[in-house]
Amino acid sequence: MKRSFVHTASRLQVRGQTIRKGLLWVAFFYMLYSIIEWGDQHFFWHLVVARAVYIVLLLGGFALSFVFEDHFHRHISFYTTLMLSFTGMDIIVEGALQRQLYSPFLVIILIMYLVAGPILVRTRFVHTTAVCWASICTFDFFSLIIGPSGDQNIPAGQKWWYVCIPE
Amino acid sequence: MTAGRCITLMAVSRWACLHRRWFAWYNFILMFTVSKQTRCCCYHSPAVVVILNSCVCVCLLSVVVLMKMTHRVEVAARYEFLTNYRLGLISRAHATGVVVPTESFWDMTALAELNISDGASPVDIDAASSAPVPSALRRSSAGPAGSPERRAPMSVDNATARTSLLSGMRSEPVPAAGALPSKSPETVVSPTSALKAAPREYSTFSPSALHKDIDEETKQALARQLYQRLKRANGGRGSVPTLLSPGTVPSEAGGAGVTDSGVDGEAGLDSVSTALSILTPIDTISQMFRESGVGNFWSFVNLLTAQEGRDDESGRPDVAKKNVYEASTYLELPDYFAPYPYIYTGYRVNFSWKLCWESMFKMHNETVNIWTEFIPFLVCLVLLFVVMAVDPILVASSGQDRTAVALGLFCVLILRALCSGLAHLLHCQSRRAYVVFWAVDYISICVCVLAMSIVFGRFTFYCLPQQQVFFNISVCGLFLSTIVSVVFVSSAAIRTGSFILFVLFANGVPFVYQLTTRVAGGASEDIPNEYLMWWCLNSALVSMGLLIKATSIPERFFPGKLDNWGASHQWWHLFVTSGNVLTYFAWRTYLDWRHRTPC
Repeated sequence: MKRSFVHTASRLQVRGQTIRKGLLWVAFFYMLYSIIEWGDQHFFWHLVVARAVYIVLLLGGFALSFVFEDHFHRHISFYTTLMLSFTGMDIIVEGALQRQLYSPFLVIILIMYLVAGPILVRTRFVHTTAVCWASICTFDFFSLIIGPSGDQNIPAGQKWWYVCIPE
Repeated sequence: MTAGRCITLMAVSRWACLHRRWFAWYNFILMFTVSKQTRCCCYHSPAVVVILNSCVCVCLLSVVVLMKMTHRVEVAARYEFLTNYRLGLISRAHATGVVVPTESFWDMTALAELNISDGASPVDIDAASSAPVPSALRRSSAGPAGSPERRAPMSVDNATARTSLLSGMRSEPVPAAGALPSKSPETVVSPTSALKAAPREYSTFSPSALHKDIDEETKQALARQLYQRLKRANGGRGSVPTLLSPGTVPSEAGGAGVTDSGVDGEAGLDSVSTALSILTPIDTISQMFRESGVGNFWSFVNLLTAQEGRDDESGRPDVAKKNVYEASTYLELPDYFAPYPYIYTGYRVNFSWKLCWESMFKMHNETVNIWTEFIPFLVCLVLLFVVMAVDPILVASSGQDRTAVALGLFCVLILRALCSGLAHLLHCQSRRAYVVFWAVDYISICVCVLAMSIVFGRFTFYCLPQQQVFFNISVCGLFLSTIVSVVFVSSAAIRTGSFILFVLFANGVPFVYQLTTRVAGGASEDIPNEYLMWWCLNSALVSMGLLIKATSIPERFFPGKLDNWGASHQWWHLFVTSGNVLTYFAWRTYLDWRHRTPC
């Protein structure tokens, strides 16, 4: 029993450190991305708030993982799922704020993110399902609110360009 | 059509749950379908989208329920397959004459099942059970379903061993090979509970992964540790027969060592090698924290306070506080005290408060460190008030700019120097003071970086208030994460990583952004060259100091000869202080330009 406990404890310890490192790196790259790509001027303060909330969530999760160390280790899968869900929602919310909800780029980013989740984080099936579900629900919600009648193709020159602006 | 898709999805997910990597592609297909349907149908009716996606959600939920219902059967099947695969490999190895190493409990139970002994020695299950699981067995690896390694179902007598094998733990001693255990109530564990308790996969983590190349610091720690043990063995009187003099530090893997008999030589080399093999160059404070097993930094400090005056291992009273000035060599330092690399003499340990303050004016290896912080602190304190009152550019600037610059200069030039000087002066009192003062020094450096980045960020995003707000929030977040890493004394990798990311973002982003916008000809194309020059000079000086400190130049080339004067830490102080002073000129230049060039 002791050996099993030791193995489990060391495994959780390693996973805990990995999750913390991941949170730091995600927060760092998201900050860089935000500074480089600032988005649409129309939703400037909304974007600031959305991005700041996401940053606070990431770094707050990092800090709280130290404050509630035991709880964090016991429910590490749950908190990983929670963070993944928040990230998925943030992708969609940012797309919606920048009027890019129906953009193929947003769909590609979302799919890449959902594929990367199980591969890199190795979340369990149930948790992956929860993440997918949260993403889909958020996407549906914003589809209904912002673009209930679909998107719009606008001609530019001799070709048709897909500009992803909801009608 | 929808029902067909649901059934397909369920079948795919049911299969994917056995192959998690493939499950990722299942997600891909699912999301692609959903997004495609959304785009196609949005033209007609939003309700269609909702219905479609609801169907997908219901499918997923159904799969979850199905998974839960069949979870145990599925896991049992998977582990039985893996076990049979492993047993097949071992039996094949024996058939071909290969000796199977019996180094783990897993191997032992596997051999017991096969009635095979490795022939080398009687099987020692107790020893084997405490052995680490070999790396090859840590990860589950499945062979092809129809592989010849698959064996027939095992007999009833082997059920216990197999259960133990699967669960990776042992409730009772398992007999040696050839004497398989009978089925007893104590040893029988229900397969379901054992399988539930079984770790799904072992981590690849190994303590040996932490073992890095032995550096000079570790060698010194080793020598100190051996010296302390010898001292205790001699009744704590410190009369060790043969000591390492500072000049004969174990230079190359214990070129000179201290043995239990106190004699240098081969036995010493063995001791050194043994100790080297178990030592890992990890941070002293972190190690103490982990060993203490307490929850956070302040609990740790309180614990140290409670332990004050007691020796950790022997329980004998620790050395009393000194009231007479007496410097020590690095060999006499206590365990918690990390010496400077290549500096062997002039350490102060267990000094009283009074003696600490008096030691400011005596020569030891911290004297120059103290004064290279206190002199700039005193000078800058006076100059800051003068400059803020009489500098025409600062006086003419807006209130917000003046406040930002004043706070920035205070943190960069005064607060950091004061905290660093106090840490160098007072850390030698006790174990608790050592931890607290160096933590304060570290935090003051973080505050200095934060203040500098906020002022530079303000100037960089002067006409972009939204980006300025976001930058400030981000920097403060990274600052807090770095502080949390220190206060809760997390792993060295997390602390270092957090600090590096913080410095990179806080200092790198405004600098690169400013350079980029200037090169690209953006809004700040007419930023004065002088401002960028001061900024570059500041970064170059700090980087140079960091390089000198990290490489321990010049004492690396003159070990033991630059203990009091000319050590790298003193140069580090000079470079950092000089670089920080230049920020004043940079900010002054910017404010002068901004006064003439509004947004």
